[in-house]
Amino acid sequence: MKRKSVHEPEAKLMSAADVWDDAQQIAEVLRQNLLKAEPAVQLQVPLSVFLSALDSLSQDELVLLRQRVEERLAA
Amino acid sequence: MAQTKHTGRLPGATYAVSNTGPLISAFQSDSFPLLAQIFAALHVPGACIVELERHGWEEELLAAMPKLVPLELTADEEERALTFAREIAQHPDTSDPVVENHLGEAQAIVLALRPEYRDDLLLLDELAARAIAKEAGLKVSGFPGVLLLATQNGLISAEELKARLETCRQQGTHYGAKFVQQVHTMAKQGRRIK
Repeated sequence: MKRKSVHEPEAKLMSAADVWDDAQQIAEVLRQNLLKAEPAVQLQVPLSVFLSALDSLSQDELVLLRQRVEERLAA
Repeated sequence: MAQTKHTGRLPGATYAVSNTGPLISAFQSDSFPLLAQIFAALHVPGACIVELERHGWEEELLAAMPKLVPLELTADEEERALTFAREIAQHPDTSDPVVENHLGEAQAIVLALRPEYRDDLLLLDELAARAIAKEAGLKVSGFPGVLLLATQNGLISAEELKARLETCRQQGTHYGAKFVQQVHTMAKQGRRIK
């Protein structure tokens, strides 16, 4: 374990709620920048096709999807 | 070692300008590779490099290059940074009224205000500097926010997040035990606390 000093050890830092907002902001900035990398097209996808696509998602992807759904439901 | 300008930009990539605090947290918890995975590069102003060296992080600084890029400010930018440092020193959320002690955050704010960073992020943990940076229109995040994003994207588990924040806390970074627990809970439950 490294034993070195920190900067401004008594500084007031952000709250836990701020941390959540930070993470959402980073995700949004990353997404926006990725979108700029290549042109995007809007596609109409039938709901049944979308639902069947869930079968191909990995465990990690399903966890992410569940988080997103829960956020939307809680909003 | 330091450049004046950030040249060249990868398409679709996001860059971060960072202050000293988030980098020390990243070094304490061996999280710099994670930051380098999320951001194309981290750009750091000269005053922060001086602070990092003063606190004994030279070895980690060197190991972090070329993903960590030291940048020098112009004379005009250094003047602007001094103004920001005064504002931070007078802010109600700081207990340190010494202007020079806020030069790192102030230089990071001025660097992030360059037009080439308009789509990027500024990493700052200190409350007063974050408030000033947001007033200046910057998109701000702290080191714990990067860790939380990493859990949300499946890069690390909620338990790893907790362990990393706890490591920082034990080494003197001012993350309280309750704060670490709350961030861990959000990472596990996938929802914001009130």
